[in-house]
Amino acid sequence: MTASPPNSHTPENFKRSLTLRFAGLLFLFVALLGSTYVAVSTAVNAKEYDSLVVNLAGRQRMLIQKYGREINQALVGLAVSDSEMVLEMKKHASRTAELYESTHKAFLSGGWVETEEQGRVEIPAIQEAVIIMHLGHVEAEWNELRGDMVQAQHSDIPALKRNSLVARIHEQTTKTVAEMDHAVTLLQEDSEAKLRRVRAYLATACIFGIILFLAIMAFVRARIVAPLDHSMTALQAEITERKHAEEGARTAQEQLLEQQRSETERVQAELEKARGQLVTQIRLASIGQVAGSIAHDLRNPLGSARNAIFYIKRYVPGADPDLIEHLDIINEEINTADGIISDLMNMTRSKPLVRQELDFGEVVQSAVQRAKLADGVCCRVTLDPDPFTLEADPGQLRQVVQNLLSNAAQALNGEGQITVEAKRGKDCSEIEVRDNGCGVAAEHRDRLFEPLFTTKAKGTGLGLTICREIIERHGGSIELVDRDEPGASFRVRLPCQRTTNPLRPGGS
Amino acid sequence: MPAKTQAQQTIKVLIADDEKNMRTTLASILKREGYQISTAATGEEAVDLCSKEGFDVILMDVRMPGIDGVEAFRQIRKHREGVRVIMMSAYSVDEMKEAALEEGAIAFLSKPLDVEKVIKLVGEVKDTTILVVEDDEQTVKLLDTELSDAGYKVTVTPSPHDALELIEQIRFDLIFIATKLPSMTGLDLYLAIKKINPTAVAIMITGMEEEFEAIAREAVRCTAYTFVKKPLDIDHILGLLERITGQRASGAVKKPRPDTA
Repeated sequence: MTASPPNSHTPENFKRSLTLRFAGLLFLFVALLGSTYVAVSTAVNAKEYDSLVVNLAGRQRMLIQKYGREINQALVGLAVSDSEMVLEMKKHASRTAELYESTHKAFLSGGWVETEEQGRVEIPAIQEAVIIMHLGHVEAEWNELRGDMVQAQHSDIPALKRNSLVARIHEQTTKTVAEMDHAVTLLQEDSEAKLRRVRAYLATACIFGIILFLAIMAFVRARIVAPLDHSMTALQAEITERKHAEEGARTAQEQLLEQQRSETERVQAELEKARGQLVTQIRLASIGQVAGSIAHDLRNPLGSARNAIFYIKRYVPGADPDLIEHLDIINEEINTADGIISDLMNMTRSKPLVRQELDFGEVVQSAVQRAKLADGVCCRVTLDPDPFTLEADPGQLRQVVQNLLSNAAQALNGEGQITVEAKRGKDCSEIEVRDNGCGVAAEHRDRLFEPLFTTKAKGTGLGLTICREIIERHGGSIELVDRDEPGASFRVRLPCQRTTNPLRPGGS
Repeated sequence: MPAKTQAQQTIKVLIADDEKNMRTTLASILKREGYQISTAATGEEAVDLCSKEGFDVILMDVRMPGIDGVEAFRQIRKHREGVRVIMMSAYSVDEMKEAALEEGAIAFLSKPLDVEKVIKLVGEVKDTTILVVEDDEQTVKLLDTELSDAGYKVTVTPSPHDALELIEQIRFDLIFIATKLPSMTGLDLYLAIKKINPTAVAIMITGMEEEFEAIAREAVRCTAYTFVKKPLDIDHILGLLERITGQRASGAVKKPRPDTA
């Protein structure tokens, strides 16, 4: 299983980076809102201060003007001759007026103002301080004034007039202070309320903005990111699947290659075998061609020779037994020569099989007769079941048995035992021809059935080749069997099952 | 040695073979048997001789320079329909054999020759040869006696295999085939015989049982000549034979060529 290479484009990484980006954006947005809030709030504050200041200043002037007039009137009403006291009172009044004027100016001009107690004070901070100061001043001054008034009461100023005046002034000052107080308080409350309102609006807007932002993000996520993610996951799954399939295909291919390899080997082995067989067949065929043409050439003279023998034996009178014997010898040799030609011919030109159901016992009898075994050779036949029927070409099967018998007889060198056994195997008949002669040497075993191979001094070396050829054309097999006892043993197997028509000629 | 009959003295034999010694030895033997011999060294010579005079039987070698034996046989038969020819060949399995037997050769013998057989065949050349393939002894005895008495040359065998071997070499004028035989049915034997010699004339012998009669009918359907039922009516059979051999003697009827069944 191959590991997927570290890839920044996997779905997990993508999600992560996207989330990070959203978080970043959110943070920025919030920060932006926050700063906007602060900025606006400050600006409003400042603005509020401004209007507050203006308001306050306006009121104060009004008050100053009003009370200034009153004071003057009061003073005038007093008609005090004592110029020192009057001067003093005027001084106080004008000083108060100046103070107010300068303060007012300062309010209007903005920036800062010089105060006695706190020195230079900047306007935003001035509000409370100024009011307090003013109140203080006003109180102080009016106290002074009151004091002066009280004094004036005691000097020789018409008492009634003086009292009502002082009372009125007292009343006025108290009222003024209270009014100023009230006004300032109102203004303060008002501005604070406004400020609060602004702040509330801002906060709401910020929250709303954040919610909107989140909603948009959610929307974006749902519509864009999720499907993207989905398709990426699907793609990933498909890639994994493809990889699996590729693996599978690769494995299958390797298996196939392996199969092909072993198949090729097998085919090659078979080809080798077939080639070997073909070579054998070609050799046989070429021998056959030569044999064929030789046969004719040989058989004609043999025929004439035999005819001549026949003639002499039959028609020439007074035949001497010696002569007859020698003529017989000649005949015999002609037969031998003919036999050799027959062997050659049989091997090369296979007669088509005429399969019949036959009695194997009869075939063996006939083969024993023809093989002309020596007297010292005893042949024992065991058939199981008896009679033993099988399907084959009788003539050619007899030829095979005859051949095996004469090979066995030669191995026994004129004395010994040959056993022919026939029994049923599984779907075949098994025939064994055994002798207790000299056996087959180990080095000859593989070559026994080769054409032209013989261990005998005389002989074509074709006997066993022909046997195998005939048996194989019947669909059977013939082989030398390993046995513990001395001697050779050949086992022939012939297939049993055949079609119902026994006369259909089989073979090549 | 078969006794010389009247007929034999007039039997004229032509020996056609390209080997001088074969001609010499065969001629010597057959002359001693009392036949009149002529010889030819080539197929053309044989045809020539036959156009001038009639021979009862020709011993023809198959492989000769010039035209081969079968061709010579054909040419001779144009003018002499009923000519009887015994083919000889050094090849035991010769492609010519089928052609020769189809043309109507009496026999196809392999060299070196079995001289006894040659003598016998030549002697019987004017006779009608009958092969009886039957294992029922009674029937065999009956047929053998009756037919031989009637002048036919009868050969008997109970074994279908031996019958096939004989037929491979010799053409019989007529074959009696029993429907019930050891190791194969009469029908199968007939079909095998037909493969070797398509023009064989066969008469099936069948017993009472239906199954055998069915076999016999089937054989006839495959162009066996006819069938006869046991117990055999000899007169009927002899009559049949006369008709068949009558046809033969005239040389007119070659058994209609059977289609490959």
